Amino acid sequence: MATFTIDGSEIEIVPGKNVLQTAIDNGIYVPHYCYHPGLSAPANCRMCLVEMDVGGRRSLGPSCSAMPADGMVVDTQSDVVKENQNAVMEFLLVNHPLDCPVCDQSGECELQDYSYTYGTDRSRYHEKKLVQPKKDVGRHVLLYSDRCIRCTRCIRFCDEVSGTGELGYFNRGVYNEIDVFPGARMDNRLSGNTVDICPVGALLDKSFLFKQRVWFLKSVDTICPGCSTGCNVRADYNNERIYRLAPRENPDVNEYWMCDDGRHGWGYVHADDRLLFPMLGRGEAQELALWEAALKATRAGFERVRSEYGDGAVAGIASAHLTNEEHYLFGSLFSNGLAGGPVAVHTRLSDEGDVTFKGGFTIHGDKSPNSRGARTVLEGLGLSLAEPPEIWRGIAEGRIRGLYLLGGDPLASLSDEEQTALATLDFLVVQDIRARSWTAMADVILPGAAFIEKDGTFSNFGGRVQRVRRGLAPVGDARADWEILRDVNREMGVEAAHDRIEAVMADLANAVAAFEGVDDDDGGDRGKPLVEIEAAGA
Amino acid sequence: MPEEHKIITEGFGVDGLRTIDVYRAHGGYTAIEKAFGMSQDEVIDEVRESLLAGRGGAWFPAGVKWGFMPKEPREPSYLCVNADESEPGTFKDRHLMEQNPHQMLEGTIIASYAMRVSVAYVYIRGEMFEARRIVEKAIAEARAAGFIGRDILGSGYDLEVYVHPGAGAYICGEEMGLIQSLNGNRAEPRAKPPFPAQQGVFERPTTVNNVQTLSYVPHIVNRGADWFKGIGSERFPGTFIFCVSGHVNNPGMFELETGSVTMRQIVEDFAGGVRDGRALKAVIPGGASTPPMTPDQIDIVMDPSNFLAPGGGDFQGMFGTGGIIVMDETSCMVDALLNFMVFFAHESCGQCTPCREGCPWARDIVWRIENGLGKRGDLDTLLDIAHNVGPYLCPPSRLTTICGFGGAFANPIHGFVQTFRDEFEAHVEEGRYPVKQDKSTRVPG
Amino acid sequence: MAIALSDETLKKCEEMITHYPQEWRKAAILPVLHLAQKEWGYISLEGLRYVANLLEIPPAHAAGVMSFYPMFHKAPVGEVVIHVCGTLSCALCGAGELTKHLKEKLKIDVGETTGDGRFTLAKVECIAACEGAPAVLINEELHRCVTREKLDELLDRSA
Repeated sequence: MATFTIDGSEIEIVPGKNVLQTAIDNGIYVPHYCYHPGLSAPANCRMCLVEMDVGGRRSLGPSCSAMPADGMVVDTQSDVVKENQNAVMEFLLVNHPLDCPVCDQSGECELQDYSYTYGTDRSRYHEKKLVQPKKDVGRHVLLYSDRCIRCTRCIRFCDEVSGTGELGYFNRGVYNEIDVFPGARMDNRLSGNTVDICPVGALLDKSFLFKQRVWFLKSVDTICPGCSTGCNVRADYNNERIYRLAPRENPDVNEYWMCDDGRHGWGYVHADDRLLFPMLGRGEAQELALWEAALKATRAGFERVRSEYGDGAVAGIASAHLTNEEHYLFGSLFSNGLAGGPVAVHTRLSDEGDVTFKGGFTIHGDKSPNSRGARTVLEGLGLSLAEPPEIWRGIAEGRIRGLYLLGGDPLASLSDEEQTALATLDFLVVQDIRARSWTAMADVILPGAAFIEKDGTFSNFGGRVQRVRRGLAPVGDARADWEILRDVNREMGVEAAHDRIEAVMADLANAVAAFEGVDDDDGGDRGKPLVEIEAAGA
Repeated sequence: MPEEHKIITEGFGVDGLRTIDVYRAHGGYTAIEKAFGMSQDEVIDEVRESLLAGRGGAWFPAGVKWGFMPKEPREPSYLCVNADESEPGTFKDRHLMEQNPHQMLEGTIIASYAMRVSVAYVYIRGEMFEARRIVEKAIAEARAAGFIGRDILGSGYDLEVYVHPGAGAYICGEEMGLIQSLNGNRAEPRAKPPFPAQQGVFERPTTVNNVQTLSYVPHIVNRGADWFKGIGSERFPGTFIFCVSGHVNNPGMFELETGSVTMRQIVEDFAGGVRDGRALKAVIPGGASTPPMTPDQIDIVMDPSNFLAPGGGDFQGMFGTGGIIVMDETSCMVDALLNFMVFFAHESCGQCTPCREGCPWARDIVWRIENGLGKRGDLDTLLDIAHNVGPYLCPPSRLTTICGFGGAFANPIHGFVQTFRDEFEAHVEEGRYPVKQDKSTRVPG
Repeated sequence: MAIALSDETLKKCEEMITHYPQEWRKAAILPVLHLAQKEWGYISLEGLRYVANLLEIPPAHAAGVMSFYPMFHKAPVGEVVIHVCGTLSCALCGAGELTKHLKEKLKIDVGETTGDGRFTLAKVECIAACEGAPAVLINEELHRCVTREKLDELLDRSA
C-alpha cells in the first residue's frame, strides 16, 4: 500500500487523486481558487501551494496539479506556505473593488473567507485600481469583471463540461478579462453553474441579484423535480419563499452540476394559480371546502360509481411527479378500497429527448422526476399498469365513470380529447398543485404540495432512490400528497397508520422488494440504487 | 587580449552565406551525411559527450534533454526551434538566422533525426520578418536539395520543417509558453509535469531547443565531442555569443570561449569601452531578467559556473542569455528599472496571481518614484512584491508562479534596489535623483 | 456583405493548416491571422469569426488568442506602422527622443493613427536589434541606429 504524509499524518494514496483533494478528503483543508474537482487544474491561482518533499528534494508547488508519490512528505503549514498564501491574498485584493457590502456573494465568498483566514487586515496598495466593466453575458448570468480573480473556472466549465465554449480569456497580463465574444451570449443550458463555481462575486445569477443577503437563507437538501436526471440540489429559502436552487455534489448522478431549466424551474411553487383549498362541485359551482368534507365527498363519489357501474369503473392515473411513498399509498388504495379499476402513470416527455453535454451531463427527455419509481412501486404492489391512452379510451367509451387523477406536474397539459373525455365522467377527483382548465371539471379538488413542501423519495432514470425534503410548509390549506393519500385510504377504510413519512417508507420497503433497505437511513447523501439495479449490475 | 573563437559565427559577412550553395561551399551539409551514417543514439551520445548545454539561458545539457525523448516513438513527436528571441539585450539568434540559416537548419535536421521526430517547427518571433523570410527560403532550398522531406539521403527517415510565426509575446520564449502558442492557445505556460518530452506540442513528446544550441550541432557532429569539449570551460565547454549594447563605442556580438574572458574585457576590449569617455555605472550581464553588476564586479570571468545561476557559482548574480547592456554614469537606475518594469508588466501572461498583479503594481511604484511621487516605505513594498513573486535568484523549488517569468521579473527589482538603494532613496526623499540625464523617460502605457 | 478571404489567401491558409496534425487545425491560428491581417489590414470581429470558423474553434477562443498577441490590430491602422523599440538598450540610446519627435511630428500618441490614415505609432518591446539602438520597425522593415533625421527621411520615403 503506497502512502505519503501530509502534516505528519500518513495517508493512503488514491491513484488519480491529487494532493489537494486527498488532503481535503482527509480533513486537511488547503485553500484554493482555480481548482475545482469537476474541472481540469491549471494551477494558476497559486493559493494551494504547499511544500512537497520527494526523495529529499523539497519544493513549493501547487497541490492541485501534484500527484502524491510513495513516501512524499507534504507540509501545508510551513512558513513558506503561509507566506505565499498571505502574498496571494494581497495580490488578489489589489485590484479588487472591496465592495462587499453590496456584493451578492458576500457571506459565501472565498475571497472574504480566505482574507479572514490567510490574509492581512490592511492594504499596502496605493496605486490606481484597474476597474473592469460589468457585463451582461447571458440570459441568466451577469459578469462583474471588476470582482473577477481570473481563476478561469467558468471558462473551463464552458470548454469542458457544457462544451459550448462561449467564454474566452481576453487580453494579457493584468488586463486579462473574461468575456463572451462580442455580440455572443452565454446561453448554454448549464450556464448557471458558472455562477456556482465562481469563488467570488463576479458571476451572478440575475434571478437572485439583490434578492437576499445569503446569511438570511435557510437551506434544505433535496432533489430537482425538473426531469428524471434527479440532480441533487440544495434549496435556499426564507420567509416562505424559495430564492434559489443550487446543485449538490453527487458523482453518481449530477457530479457538481444542474441545468438552468431545473435551477430556474421552481417559480410555479409561488405562482398565483396554486390550489390553496380543497374544493367541491364542478365548474362555477365549485366552492371551498374543509378537508373533512372533501375526503367524505371523495369516498361518497367513488362508492356511488362503483355501486352503479361496478368496481372496474373507477380508474386511477398516477403521476410520475409524485414520490415513491405517494405511489405506495396510491397503489395501496387501488389494491384495496378502490381495487378493480385500471391504473396508469402519467409521465411527461419532451420532444427533444435526452440532451447530453460534452462532460457527460444529461438533461433527460423524461420531464418527470419519478417515472421509474412510480412504475416500480405500483407494479411491486401487484398492480398491472395500463397505459394512459387505455384509460382515456375507457372514459371516452363510457367504461370508466370515475377517475382519481394525480397531478403535481406544474407544466402538465391535457389534449382537447382528453379534456372532453373528463367532462363525461360521473365523478372526478383531481389532486394537483395548480389550477388548470381541467381542475374546473373536478367534483373534488385536493390541493397537493410542491416538491419543496414535502418529504419522500424520487427514483431517477437509473433507479437511484433519492431523498426529497421539505423546506417550506404547503401553501394555504394544501397538504403533502402522501398525507392526502393516507387520509383518502383511511376514509376508504384502508388501514394506514402513517403519521410520519418514515412509516410510509418502512412499509414501502417491506412491501416492494426493490425498495428493501431504503428506509435504513435517509437514503444517504447520494441516494441508493434500487436493489434490482444492484442485482442487475452484480 | 583574448580573441574571438568563431564557430557558429564563422563566415558571417561572407556574401551569400545564407544560400545553400555558398553554405555548402563552406562545408555545409556535410555533418548531416555523417550523422545519417550513425545510429540515432550515437548522435545523441556524441552531443551528450560534448557537454553542449542549452544556450537559451538555462544551460541544461542538450544531449541529456534529447535522451528524454522516446526511443521508439509510437506516435509523432516534435522538435521546436526556439527562435522567439526577445530577452532585452539579446540579438544573437536573429543574426544566426539571418546570416547563416542553413547552419541552424542542419542542426535542426540532425537533432530531429537523433530524436526520431517527424516534424520540426521553427518558432520565429513575429516581428522578425526578415529572419522569417530567410529561414523559409532556406527550408525550401534544403527541401529541394533533399535534406528535408521523405527518405532523406536514402536513410528512410522522413522529416518536415515548418516555420511558425509568433505575434509579439515574450512569454513564447518560455518552453511551455512556446508549446502553448504553437498549439494555437494563448501562450500561458502550463504547469509541469507533464514535461515536454512526455507531453508537449499537440500533447506529444516534444523537445524545445534554442537557435544557438542547434547551430553548434553540425560542428560537433563533424569534429567530434572531444573537439568541442576542448574549447572553453570544463563544465560549460564551447563558445558563447555575447551581445553588447547600450553605452558602448562598439556595440555588437562576439563569439567567445566560455570561461575565457572577463566582463570587463567584453565591455572594454570587444565593445570598445564606454562611449564619450564617460565612466561605467552598471552592466546588465544577460538580459532584463538578470540583476545589474557594478564596475567593481566586472572582473568576473564570464562562465556560467561562476554565477550562482545557473552554475551555483560564488557570484550572487545571474549569467543569463548573453545580452549585455552597458550603462554609463548619466544613466538613472530608477529609470532603467522602470523600463524593465514596463516591459515585464506588458509581457506577463497574467495567469498566475502573483505575476499578474505584482508586475503592474511594481511598475506603478517605480513610476511614482521616478516621477517624484515616491513615498517612504515604497522601496520595502517593492522588494516585498518582488520577493512574493520570486525570491532573489529564485530556484525553481521556490517559485510561486508556474514559469520562470516571475523570477525574471523579480531579479532586476532585487538587484537594482539593493545595489543602488541610495539612488532609489534619494529619488524618494528629494523627489528626483540629481543625475544629469540625457535620455528621456518612458511612462507606463 | 459577409467578410471573406481571397481565394489566394485562403489557399495559403489551407496550406498552413496542413503543417499541423488534422485534429489541431487551431494550431494555425497565428499564421492564419497574419495572412488575414495582411489582406484585411486588421482583424475585425467579423473577420475573427471567419477565422474561428475556418479553424473550427469557438469565436471566443479565437478572440482570446488574438488579443493575447499585440501584433494583431483590432481596428484599422495606417499604411505605415511605426514601432519604435523602447526597451532599455534603445531607451539608453535615445528611443524616447525619437518617440517624442514622432508624436510631435505626427500629432498622435502611441497607439494612435493619423487622421489621414497614413501613419500609426505602435508599441513594441525589445525587437532584438539592440546593437543598432535605437531600432525602429517600419512595417516589416527593421532600421538600426535611427536618428531624427534618418527617421524623417524614412517617413518621407514611405509617404
